[in-house]
Amino acid sequence: MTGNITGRVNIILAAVLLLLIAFGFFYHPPAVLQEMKEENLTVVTAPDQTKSMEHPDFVKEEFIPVIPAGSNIALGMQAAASSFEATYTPRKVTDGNAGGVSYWEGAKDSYPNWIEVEFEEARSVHAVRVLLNPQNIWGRREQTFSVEVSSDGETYEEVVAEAAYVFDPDLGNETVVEFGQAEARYVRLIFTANSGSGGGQVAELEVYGE
Amino acid sequence: MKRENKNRVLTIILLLAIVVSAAAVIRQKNRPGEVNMLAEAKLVLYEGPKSLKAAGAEDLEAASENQRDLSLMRCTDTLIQVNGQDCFVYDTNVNHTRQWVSSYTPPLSRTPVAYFDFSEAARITVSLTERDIHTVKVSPMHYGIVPEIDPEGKSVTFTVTEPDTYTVTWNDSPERAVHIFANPLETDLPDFNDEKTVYVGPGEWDIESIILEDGQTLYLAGGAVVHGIVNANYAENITVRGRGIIDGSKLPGWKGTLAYIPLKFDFCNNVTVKDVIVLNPNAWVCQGYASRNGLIDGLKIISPRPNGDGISLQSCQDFTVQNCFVRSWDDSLVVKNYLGNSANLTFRNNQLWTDLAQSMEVGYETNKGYLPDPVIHNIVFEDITVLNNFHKPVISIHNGDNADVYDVVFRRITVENGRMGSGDGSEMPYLIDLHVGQSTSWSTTDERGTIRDIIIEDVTLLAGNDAVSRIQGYDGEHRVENVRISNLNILGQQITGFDDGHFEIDEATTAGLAIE
Repeated sequence: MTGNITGRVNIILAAVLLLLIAFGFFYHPPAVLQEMKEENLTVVTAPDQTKSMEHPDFVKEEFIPVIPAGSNIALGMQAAASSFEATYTPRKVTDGNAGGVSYWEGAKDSYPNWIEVEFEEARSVHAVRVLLNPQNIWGRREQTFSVEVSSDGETYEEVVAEAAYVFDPDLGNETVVEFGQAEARYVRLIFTANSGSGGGQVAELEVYGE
Repeated sequence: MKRENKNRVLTIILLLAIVVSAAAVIRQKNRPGEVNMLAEAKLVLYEGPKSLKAAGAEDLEAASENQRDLSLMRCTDTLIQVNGQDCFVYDTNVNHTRQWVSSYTPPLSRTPVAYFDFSEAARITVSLTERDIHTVKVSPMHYGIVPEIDPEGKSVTFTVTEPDTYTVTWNDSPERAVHIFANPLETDLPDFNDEKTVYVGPGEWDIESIILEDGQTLYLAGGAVVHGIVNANYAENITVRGRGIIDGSKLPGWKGTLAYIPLKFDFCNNVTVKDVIVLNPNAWVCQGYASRNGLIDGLKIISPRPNGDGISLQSCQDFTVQNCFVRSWDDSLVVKNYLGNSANLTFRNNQLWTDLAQSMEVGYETNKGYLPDPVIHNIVFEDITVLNNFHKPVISIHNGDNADVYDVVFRRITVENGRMGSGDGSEMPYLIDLHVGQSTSWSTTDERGTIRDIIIEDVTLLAGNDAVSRIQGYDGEHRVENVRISNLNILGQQITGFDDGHFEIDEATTAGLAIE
């Protein structure tokens, strides 16, 4: 009788043991890692702000253009070029609009390429202001050109030797080139390089004179 | 029962107990699964900008950009925890319209997006506050993830061990599918003290444009949202990277006039784009134009608006596009000739979700620049998973101009859900489409070109339409030649003949076609 009881207890104990082990074997804890080890978690925090802000590193200073003396006598005048790319025809440089796609571009890989304006009669001139689209998406570039003038459209005289000029949207994307007083019916820019495209580019060619 | 019998039973039970406990110990010790991996897991979470509006019910209505606020918002109806930690969820715009909208203002919907970095394993719980979960799918399906749905049907939990993009689709509908960019930990950070490194930190920033010049690296930190664009023109050795977001939602749609391309590289050499996320641009997304030597790696794109092509390589050479996620409302991956030839382009291990147009397209423009002897060659699409393709072909070469298009490979392409022909895509409901033709919309040249030496292998359509395909040249001279298709499986059926695969083949304008 005692042996029976002991045997039964042993069997029950063994069965419980077996059940416990089986439970440990088959049981899957539901959420394995509710809290991460602190050293393994990084949370990158956001600054306090209630609205989208201008980023201080990208704020542009206002650019105030320097306009040469006299007035722009090229506005509305005839323009011609050695070549042009796609729809970027020469007449765009005297239409008074430097925005959008209103610009001239010389045909790719055809340097030197030139653009010129023609006045109705010879005028006294002393500076050119060359503009590109001032929008940032145009990007900073360097263009190399010289300036020549002519009274008959056949014989040209160089008034500014070839030089590189920076066009930077942060600085209006324009450059002013001054030279001594000259008589001219034609004013021509001759491009030999452009770090921002395959040909010379001009959105407006302003010529200052009397 | 005799004593010896009892002892025998007892002995057997004890022996069994010893065996089971030994097995349990071995199992626990060798368990490669989540317990051990999670114990060692590293996790990086990024708070979203505090300025983002919480999306309300009115923001989730499908409506055009004239009718509701398109802003990037903080999602409130879908909550995500990773390893028990709250993960910021963005709410961005997507487009479920399956037809072109000439007003350029199709109705836009919204969907949740989240990202984090991890190693080892991440246990992700996604909870819905407003809807019940009846079915759930986690893509890519090749991982075999079977999420646990909680008894109330309000949340699911699953574990990932590979950095990748995971998309959770609810109740067999694309609505409010959750895109989770589970990135690897970031390594090889740029030198932030280098004057050539441009750094943008966490927060919501208005930056009209960032123009990169030679040698510059733009780093968008995780947690950053930049409203603006990143462009480069005639630049060399430039990099855009980081875990931040470029968002175009403040811009009106381009409507055929003013496209602000978030990632635009024209005439560049040696371009790297890595990891950044682009959401809701006003037109197409990542453009390489007449550029050389590019690596686009881990870029994530969701574009909902008209002409929203994902990654568009135009007259580029020597580019690799890998590990990217592209969900787009126009071609997801596309190769064109605009100014010069395209060559040596590899698209590898990318995930696509194409709401409109084609998933992998060569064309239509194959000589937009009207140049002599145009070619497009050595183009490879491999290991691509297409989560959804709703409109036009999945695999396509459309030679709309006079280029010679040759040596193009599509291999190991898995389409999880191919619904070609939805909406106004019914004119081209193809799985595979190789076609030489003249397009009234996109052709430039009067002369036609050719397509030749094409390999399409290991293509599987898991679900969707019982697809048709097309191979058609233009005439006897402008043909589609030497096409080898192998191991094509459509909806479980192994395709061994063109008839089996429902191919429309124009015998008069094709030659050397084989399927096995």
